[in-house]
Amino acid sequence: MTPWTRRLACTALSTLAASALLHAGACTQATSPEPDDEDLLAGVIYRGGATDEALRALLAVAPEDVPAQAAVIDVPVHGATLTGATAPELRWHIRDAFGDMRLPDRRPPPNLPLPWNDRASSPLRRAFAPLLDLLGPEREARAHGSPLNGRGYLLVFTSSDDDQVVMRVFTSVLTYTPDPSEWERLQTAAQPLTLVITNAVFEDNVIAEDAGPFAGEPSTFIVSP
Amino acid sequence: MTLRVPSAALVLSLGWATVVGCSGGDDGNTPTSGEGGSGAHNPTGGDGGQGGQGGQGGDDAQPFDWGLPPGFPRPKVPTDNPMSTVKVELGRRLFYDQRLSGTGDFSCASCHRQELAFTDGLALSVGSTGEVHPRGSMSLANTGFISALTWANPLLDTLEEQALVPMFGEEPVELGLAGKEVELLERLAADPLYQELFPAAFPDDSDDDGPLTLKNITRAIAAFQRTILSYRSPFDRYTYGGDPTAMTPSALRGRDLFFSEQMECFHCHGGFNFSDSVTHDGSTFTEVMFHNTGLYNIGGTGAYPEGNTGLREITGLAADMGRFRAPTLRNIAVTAPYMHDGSVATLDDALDHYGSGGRTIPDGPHAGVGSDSPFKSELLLGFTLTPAERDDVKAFLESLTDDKLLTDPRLSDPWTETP
Repeated sequence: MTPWTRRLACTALSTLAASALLHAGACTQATSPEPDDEDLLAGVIYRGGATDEALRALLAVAPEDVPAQAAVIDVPVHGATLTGATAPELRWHIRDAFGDMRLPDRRPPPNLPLPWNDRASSPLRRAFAPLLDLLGPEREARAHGSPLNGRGYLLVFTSSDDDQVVMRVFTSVLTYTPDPSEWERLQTAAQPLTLVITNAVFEDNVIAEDAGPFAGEPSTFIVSP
Repeated sequence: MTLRVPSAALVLSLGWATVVGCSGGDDGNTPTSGEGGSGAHNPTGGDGGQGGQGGQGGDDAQPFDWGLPPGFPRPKVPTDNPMSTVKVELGRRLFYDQRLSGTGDFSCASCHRQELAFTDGLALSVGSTGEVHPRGSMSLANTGFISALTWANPLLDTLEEQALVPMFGEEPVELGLAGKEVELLERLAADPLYQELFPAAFPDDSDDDGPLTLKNITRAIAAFQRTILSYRSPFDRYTYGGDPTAMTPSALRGRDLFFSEQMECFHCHGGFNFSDSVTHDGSTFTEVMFHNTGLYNIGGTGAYPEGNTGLREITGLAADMGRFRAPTLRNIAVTAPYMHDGSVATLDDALDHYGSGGRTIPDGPHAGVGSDSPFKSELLLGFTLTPAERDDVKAFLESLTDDKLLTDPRLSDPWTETP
């Protein structure tokens, strides 16, 4: 073996070893197994530059009921019937995000191993994110370039009949217009549908301090063909 | 090319990080605020959002209400200079006080005017003695989040230290206080207002010098600067506040372009502050980055005008030619002219520069094709915009203007206020 081939082999083995460590690190937490990412994020529609990494952070925490921070649905209004071949633009707003509000102190003690103190948002993981991306496990939804900063909204449409989730959309903007196939999904689901929008404020895909997730107000409506 | 200063440390610690990254000993939300301190853990609310203590450690630390909305980061505060309302007020007085200059007619605010997002509107700043600087005045909006201050100095990382540069710097002269330290202290000590404010802001300073010291002057100014916070622009009201009426459709389309791989803007002007080299309360990894944007390529050598070569002046490295920090784009519509030397007059000119992947100067002493610079950032690939897209991008950039910041009475000149 020449020095050059030895070096090549050594580099390849090192890369494999590093990758194996990263893969192992991505799934080893003996005391609290991670939910399967693929199940967690399966079928989610991404819009407005929202990212799967941010969504994972949002889904890891139970939403809190803070009325001022709740997403209020403007369209469709509660009790509406939506008809037509093309989907309308769904719209919402935050009730009073910049209003005169006081948030309760709900910081956990620093070293308490709570479920939302997850690996995904650790400083080290953020620092080594590019390397993890390169060598680590493949992510299902490599979403869209820049990390999410600002508010992200998870729209969950459920069928009121059987509480089945019909569709989930994760977006950073305050509107969502279903495309034809998505509109058909809503039209053909058991009616009525209920839409709930959970939101949080992100900084580089991580939920910022005291910034959610916040539960939204549901709107129940009918989509007819 | 892009320089990431801590890269060596990053590489050296790779093996260790690989092993411990998932060991369970490090959790993402564990508050590790360091200098930022306990403020992160005690939100007390505020005007439009959460407050929190700005500092920690000192016995005099009082809860400080930043008044920021939920999710907006808070500045990192040094442990030896905790925030307090009285200290901020003292800092505001000093910031606008013309007695802080050798000539007695110049202040920090002379080059950092509130209505211009704390810039001066000049291509190159002019000091108290009339000396023209090689660089333009940087915006102080959100300067409390910046991890490397000024245009190209990775060593200058606290506002307290930075304040000494304009006060006592001689090349160039800014406030012109070099050699006049005693005179300055005597001048301030004679003012009854300062006789009250300094002891109130620094109640634990009981040594022989008392609280009116150069160190405390810079501490107070730094505390005030940390409150120059831009977070109420139309972009913020839409993105953080969830107000669908805050941004126009054109600005929203421009936002999509700005954050697209087509334009690549967000790589250097990303995050909540539309800049890199950012740190804040709770952040544990501080990156410092500098970029050569192909503004000059004198004679095809990559050279920048002598005396204004950016990071190279600090490091002495040829590869650092023309590397400067990416400033925040917040309030960019009111901070023209642009670039470190103010050589780009308008937003349209700036878009032309980046769209071409570098500036071409056809003739004269600085002639050269910037896009061919051997030192240019690899992120500067150029882009093409239709006229409508250009309007959208400009509308987006204009949506970053925080009008409330430009008129906020808490940040205005206290010496002109009617008692």
